[in-house]
Amino acid sequence: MSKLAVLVDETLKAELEAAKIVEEAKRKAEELLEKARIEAQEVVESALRRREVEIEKHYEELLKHMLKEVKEIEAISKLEEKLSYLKKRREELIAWLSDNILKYIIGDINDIEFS
Amino acid sequence: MTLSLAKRILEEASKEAEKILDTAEIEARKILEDAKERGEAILNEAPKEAERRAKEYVNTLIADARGKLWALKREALRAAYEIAAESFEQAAKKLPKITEREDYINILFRLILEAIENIRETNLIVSVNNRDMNLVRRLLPNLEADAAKILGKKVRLTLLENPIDIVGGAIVMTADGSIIYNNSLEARLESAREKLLPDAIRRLVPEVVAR
Repeated sequence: MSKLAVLVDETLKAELEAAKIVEEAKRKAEELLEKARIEAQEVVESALRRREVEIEKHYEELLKHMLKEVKEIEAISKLEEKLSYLKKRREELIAWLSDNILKYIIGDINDIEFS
Repeated sequence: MTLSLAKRILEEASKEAEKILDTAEIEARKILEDAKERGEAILNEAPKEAERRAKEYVNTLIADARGKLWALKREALRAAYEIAAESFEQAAKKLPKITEREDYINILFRLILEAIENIRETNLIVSVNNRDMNLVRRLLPNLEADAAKILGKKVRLTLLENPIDIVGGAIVMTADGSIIYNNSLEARLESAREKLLPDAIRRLVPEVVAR
């Protein structure tokens, strides 16, 4: 084999080897990036899960506080009590009111002022 | 010479490979750093998101509560109105109790005298129920005397011989019937109903009826 032939042969071999080295590096780089992407996704997913836990914790506390401020809820409770009272004591109230109406009429007559 | 060319090709390939890996490592680190930053941002959002959700829930609750409150107010108002109205019905049934009082004669006297004062005429007819006929007959002289004092002129009262169907009190009218003053107990009750019914309802459910 001539010297030129040897030179060409070894150069070709080296270029082939170089291409392999670069390809291998690209494959490893892609692997590295893929691993980083998976890890990043896990970090985000974990944060999302922790966020839900945190939200739930804050939510319960906030709700407890906010519900105290809703005056309609207390008003409903009071009105329900009043309605129940009016229904239960209906007859007593009617008797009491009618007696007072008579008292009013008598008082009204006795209060008549003549000129 | 041959060896050095091949060696150089391989060395350059190694350098390129190293550069590729270095770039990938930098990018990978960046991906992770970005993810961590995003994760922190996500976590930091939690209180705000919790507040948003709580507000949303409370607003829905308030809207529902207002609807329920309105319905309850209507129900309470109706219940109070029924009690108040029924009280006046029962008061009407109890009206005879007034005529059973010891001071009923005084009440009757005042009712007739008030009617006379309001009509302000001199010739008047007094109508009462059958039970009060004798009572009023006895009262007429005193009534005429008091009426004369009040009006400053002589008043002639005539008791209508036909009794009228009232529980108590009297109806007084001019002789020609042009002016009638109904001061029966029923009329007093009706007047009380007009004055007191709204107030009775308000007292029963002050939280519903504003002053």
